[in-house]
Amino acid sequence: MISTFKSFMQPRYVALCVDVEHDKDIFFRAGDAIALGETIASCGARSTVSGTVNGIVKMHRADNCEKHAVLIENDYRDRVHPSLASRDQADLVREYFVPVSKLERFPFDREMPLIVDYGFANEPFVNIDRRHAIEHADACLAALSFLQVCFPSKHIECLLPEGLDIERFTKSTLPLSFRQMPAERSPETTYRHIEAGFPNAFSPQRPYRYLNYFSLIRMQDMIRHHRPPISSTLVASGDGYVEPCVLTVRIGTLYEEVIDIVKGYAVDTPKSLHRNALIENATIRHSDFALDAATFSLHCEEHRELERADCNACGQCNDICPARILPAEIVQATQSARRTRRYKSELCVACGLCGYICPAKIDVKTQVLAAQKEGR
Amino acid sequence: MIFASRQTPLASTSESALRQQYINAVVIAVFLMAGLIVAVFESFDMTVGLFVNAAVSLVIAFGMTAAGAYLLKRPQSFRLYLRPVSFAMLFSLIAPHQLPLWAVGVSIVSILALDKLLTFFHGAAVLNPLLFVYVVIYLVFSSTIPMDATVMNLYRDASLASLSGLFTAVADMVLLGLFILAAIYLAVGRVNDTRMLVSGFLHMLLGVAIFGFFTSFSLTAGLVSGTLGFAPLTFVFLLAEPTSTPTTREMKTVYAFIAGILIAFFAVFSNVSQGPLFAVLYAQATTWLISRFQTRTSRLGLRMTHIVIAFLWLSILVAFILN
Repeated sequence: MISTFKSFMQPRYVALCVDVEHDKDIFFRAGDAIALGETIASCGARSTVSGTVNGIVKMHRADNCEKHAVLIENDYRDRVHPSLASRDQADLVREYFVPVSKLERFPFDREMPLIVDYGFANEPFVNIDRRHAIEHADACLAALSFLQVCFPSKHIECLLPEGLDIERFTKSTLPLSFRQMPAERSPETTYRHIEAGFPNAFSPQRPYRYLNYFSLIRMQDMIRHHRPPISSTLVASGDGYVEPCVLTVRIGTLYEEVIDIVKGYAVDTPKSLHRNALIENATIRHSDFALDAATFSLHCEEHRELERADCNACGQCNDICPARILPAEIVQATQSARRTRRYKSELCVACGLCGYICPAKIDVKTQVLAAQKEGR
Repeated sequence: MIFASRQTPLASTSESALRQQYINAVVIAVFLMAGLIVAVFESFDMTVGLFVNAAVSLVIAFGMTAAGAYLLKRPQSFRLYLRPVSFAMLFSLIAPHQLPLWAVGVSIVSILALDKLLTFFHGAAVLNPLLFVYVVIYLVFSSTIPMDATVMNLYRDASLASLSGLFTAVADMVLLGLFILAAIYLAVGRVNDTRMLVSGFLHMLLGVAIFGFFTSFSLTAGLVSGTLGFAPLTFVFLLAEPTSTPTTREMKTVYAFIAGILIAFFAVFSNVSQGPLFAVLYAQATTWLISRFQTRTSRLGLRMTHIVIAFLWLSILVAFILN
């Protein structure tokens, strides 16, 4: 009972309802870091937790009203701030198992421009102290240098408030282009600027990456307190590696070096390589990449033909499923062409834990999502 | 610059069905060898019969799988031969040595065909095909062949004659010890479900105690009937095998309760030594029914299941007291 209560008060995901007509009026996109109390949209709704925005979904309420909701992954397991949550938001917090498959993913592409927003002067969480502007600028440059390692981009546009030392930025060798923004700017003006600078930036076909001040300040603090983000823990797992293990790697380490440490591939052609398999599960097509700070697991699967009767109904996927559906039953029903609707596969959050834990290495998630799509 | 250091070894996630099936086949092969040793000490005819049955079963199982792979023109790994081999070895342990060889052959073919059919039409085996075919064999041959004359029943009969017989026959003790070791090994190796095995055994003990106490049945005889003979084989290989059992923790608990109470019922009220096998078959027949009650797992489900089962045991106790 206590664990149930805690998980409700500190939910894994929080879906915040925002009363806007179009999703352009929401200032965050998938992958952005968000702070407690930060303004989410033009309607003035504020975030009730700190974390990462997983995406924006259209939610159908019980009163047949369609509203936009921002799905935030509660990275720090914050309690939902009661003073910030309106009644509508509190209702939606209960529905935090929104199918993640419907959300936009944070793309991993070097060609996209990176917009670094140093913050709004009128925001309560950014106290750009003019007396420490130079120190801020140094830290900001250092953070941007690390960013270039973590998220290499060909073009970085910095939105800087008044007072920050721009000379230091101009001397940098980073591919920066900067723009000084008025201190009294609003989220709307920022949005208009981004839209003017990057046409169709908000369309899914041409996404951009937007790093807000909260992430920057966090990185700066790490640098100031001599805890630079130079290394991270990486879990190299899966049948595809000869010796899967947990590594401490420096950010920027080439993947080829990781392959040497895990004693190479178990087979000549591994089936697939997934990044952050448990949460993001992004497929990596080629092995020519360096590790960034956001990569904490690489899962390499062996290429093996699976037979029809591989599922021996051990039920481990049922035990581990966070959405509490029964993937084993869905797989069995799918194999025998029975109906799967009663197992409520639409509640699947596509976390991939079922396939990860499966001793027979069945791609359970794909089968559950297929059943969800089929809707029999 | 390489800056990577290994922190902890990570167990490969390929603790797979491949490994589980190897373990299962190896354990059953060890039992076949132990059964042969016991049979040598007890009866020469039984040794020959057991050896011939095992050889015929293994040849047919290998042949059928190889023929299927050849006809379907699909390359199959060695792993796929292990399940038929397990079936064949288990059947030779269960079947009496007087069984005609044609019946052994037909049984193995039927077991493999039934396994494929069940898997094809239901996605998983709704009941153990080995048990199902054994019941058919029992019904057909029980009037002409003593179906109890197996290795499994040798030390059970000795123990029933005198309790000291359990501790005097060295070969029987070796077999019993092997069963206990196999149960632990299969549970630790996660081949079989520990929860079902242990809770099924406890329910059986509780059932034998209650039924035996209130029906003036000897408690010792009930425990010997319930725990020896076919019962160790039932508990170790058939009751806890995951293929024909429910997949959720709640329903596994219910299944273990049903199987345990049925085994206790057969041990106390029936004179048939194959009672545990039939009880597990009946319990497996309820799997699809009890699984229909659950479409999602709930956090309080397992706790509530335990409470309901405890309430059922109390009801059984009260019913026996009132009668």
